[in-house]
Amino acid sequence: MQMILFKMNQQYYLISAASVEEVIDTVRITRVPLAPNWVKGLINLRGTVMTVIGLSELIGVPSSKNNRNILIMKKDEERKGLLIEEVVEVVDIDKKDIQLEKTDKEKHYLGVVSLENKVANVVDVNHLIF
Amino acid sequence: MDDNSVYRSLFFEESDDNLQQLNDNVLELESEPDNMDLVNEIFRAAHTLKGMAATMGYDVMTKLTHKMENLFDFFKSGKLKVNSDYISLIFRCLDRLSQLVEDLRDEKELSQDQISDLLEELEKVEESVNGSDQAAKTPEEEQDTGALTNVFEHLEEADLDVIHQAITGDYKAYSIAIRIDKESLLKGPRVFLIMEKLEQEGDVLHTEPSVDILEDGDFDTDFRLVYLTRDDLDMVKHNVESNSEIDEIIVEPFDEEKQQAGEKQQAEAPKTVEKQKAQQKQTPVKAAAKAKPKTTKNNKTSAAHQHANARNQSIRVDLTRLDRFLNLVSELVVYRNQLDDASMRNNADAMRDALEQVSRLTSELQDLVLKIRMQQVSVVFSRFPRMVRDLAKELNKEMELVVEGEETELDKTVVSELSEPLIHLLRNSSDHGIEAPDIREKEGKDRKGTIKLSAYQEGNRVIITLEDDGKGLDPAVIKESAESKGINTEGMSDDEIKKLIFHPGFSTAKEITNISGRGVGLDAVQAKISELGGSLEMKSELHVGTKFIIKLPLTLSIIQALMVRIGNESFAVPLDVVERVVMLKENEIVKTTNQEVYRFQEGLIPIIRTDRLLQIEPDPNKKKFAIIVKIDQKYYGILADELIGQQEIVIKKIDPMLQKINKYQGATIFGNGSIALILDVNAICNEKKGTE
Repeated sequence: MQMILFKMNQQYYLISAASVEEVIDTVRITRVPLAPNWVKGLINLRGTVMTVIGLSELIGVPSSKNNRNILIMKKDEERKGLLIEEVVEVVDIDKKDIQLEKTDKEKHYLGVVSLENKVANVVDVNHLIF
Repeated sequence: MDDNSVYRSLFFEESDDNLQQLNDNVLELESEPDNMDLVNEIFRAAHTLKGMAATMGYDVMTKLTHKMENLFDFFKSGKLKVNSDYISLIFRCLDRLSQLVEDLRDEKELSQDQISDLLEELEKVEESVNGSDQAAKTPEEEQDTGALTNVFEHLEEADLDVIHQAITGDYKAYSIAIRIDKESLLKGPRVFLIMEKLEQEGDVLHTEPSVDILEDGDFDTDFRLVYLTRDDLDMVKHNVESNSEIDEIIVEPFDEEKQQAGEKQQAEAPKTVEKQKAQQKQTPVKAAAKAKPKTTKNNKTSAAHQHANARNQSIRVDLTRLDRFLNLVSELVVYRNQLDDASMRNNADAMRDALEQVSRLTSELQDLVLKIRMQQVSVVFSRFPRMVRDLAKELNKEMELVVEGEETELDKTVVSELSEPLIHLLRNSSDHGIEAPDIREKEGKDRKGTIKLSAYQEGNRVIITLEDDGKGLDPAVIKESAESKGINTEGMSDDEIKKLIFHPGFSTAKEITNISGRGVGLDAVQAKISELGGSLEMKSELHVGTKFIIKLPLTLSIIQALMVRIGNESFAVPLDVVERVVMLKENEIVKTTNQEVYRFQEGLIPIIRTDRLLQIEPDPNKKKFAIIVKIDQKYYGILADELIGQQEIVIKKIDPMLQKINKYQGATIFGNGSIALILDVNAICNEKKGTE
């Protein structure tokens, strides 16, 4: 299956391309006071107001300073932005290449995939953000 | 193409109106039985209804309306006194008629069985009034126009040729004579419907008088036609008879000799011209007949589709609003042309002037479009008095519905969705709220319970309240009931327990009645209201009554707003709640024991520090402004660091997750693409009130 490989705070992550509608460069994010800390704020995506969620805050890893991309996640008719550091590339991953499959504890980790010179965490956050 | 569907939707709309009017008037009649003007009005409405049903050929409906009309006739002539039994009977007729209309809308065929019970009752009433003399009257009236004949006066040779050819094929030729009921008000459409029915199964070759004259209704009562079809005689007869308002028909196989005998005295008419003419007239009729979906047989899908459209499509608009719309648009065209012209001449000044006008017109148009979409809540409210009356009868209670502010307007989409939740609340109040008369008397209340339904506009919201003076919610009863249903009530305050009635699957009625249902209830009402962007509150006091407050957004999308800055962030405050903006110094804010207040007009009003509330770093160098807002007749001062200005904004929905914070109504996008949150001033102030 196709997955999007991206970087966050020197770590690599993979997310299923099926749940990502598009990738955009970071635009100005308007903060929402009193919102949970993993809600980064609102963006204007071609006239629609969309909530952007910080992936690092959501899954509890150190956040990076420079976030360049937002993944537009979709589920049915709903859309939400997922703020990440930078998309690297789209890769084809065989399901059986996913190792160390998830434990019940960590619901957003599906496992890890070993690529040429790096190891990437496979994440799935749709059930957390929608 | 389908002429009938146009009539159909018109028929439904008008029937609904007439039935509503009848309901209203009959209800009024019950309280003023001697009001003859009212009886006359009722009579007129019933008559119109009958006429329309008859025109559309809905016999079953016509029959029932006719019988009901007779009853009104008795009231009118004084042969019968209005009493509550008759009123109830009439209401049952009206309900049945509504049901019939609903069935027709769903493309169902009506049958006589649907109304036979009511007809019987109505007939009994009739008999009790004038015995059987009515029945004897009708037959003798019919004899005065002479016998109906099916001999044609001028049939042409060309027609005869066609008939010959047809008979040698599979077709049969019939000569048909029809006498329309002389009471018929709309002979033309009636003929049209008969012809259409026939054309579905064959061809009408020749008519006397000509089709044009017939469809204009410009004839006495009789007409004749030559009809070619594969159907047998009985079938043809049946097809003709399936139309209403037909007095008499003759259907015979076409007999040339008989025809020629009858024709002898007629002079030979010029043929070819007439024939061509006849054909021209025929074609459109045939085309229409073919295009018409044969609802009884096939084309169900297309019919269902049309039906779905017909239901939600139209809105009635005040003509003056529409005229204004037209004026504005024509003005807009003028300035567009000026713009074109100015841009050609490269005249910046002229362009600016024209643009100014265009921008004014755009906002006026925008306003108007919103208003055109608005509908009075009376559309929904009008059926409730009748409903409460019926509920009172059914529950053996005495109660009255007082309606206020029914002219309040709301967006059409909101209005049409409103009836279901309101009906539910009304039923709840009648069933669970209002006590039985004896109990009320014991408690020192008026025997008659009052339910008050009122609507009014407050800011950019419409508030609808439903208040009863019934027994109110008893926390003890609810608690018991909740526990028996396995809901944990431990440590709940009385208020929290009262809120349990919104819990899915909760019903306080000791016995389930068919009125307020089986506990699929208030949670559904709440869901519906929030779906409409509104909120539902409930206040209840034991033995005093219960009040439901529904707050709904006036329009769904565009509002005037005051843009402000708090810290470094921009926010929008809906302008309609803003009373005034004042500049204030820190020392004008007075600290009391538990809050901060500001002297405004003659009183002290609470101050809401938005920076603290929203946890925003304040800008100490900025001057402070207090935006004075009025919520629920009370003033509040909302602090802001800077005023940006007034602007019209489009409300964009925000994530439900962010709505839960209960501080923002939505967000909006500025011309430069940046986003600002819209403060939910109502929620913020109500929260403040809660902490007092």
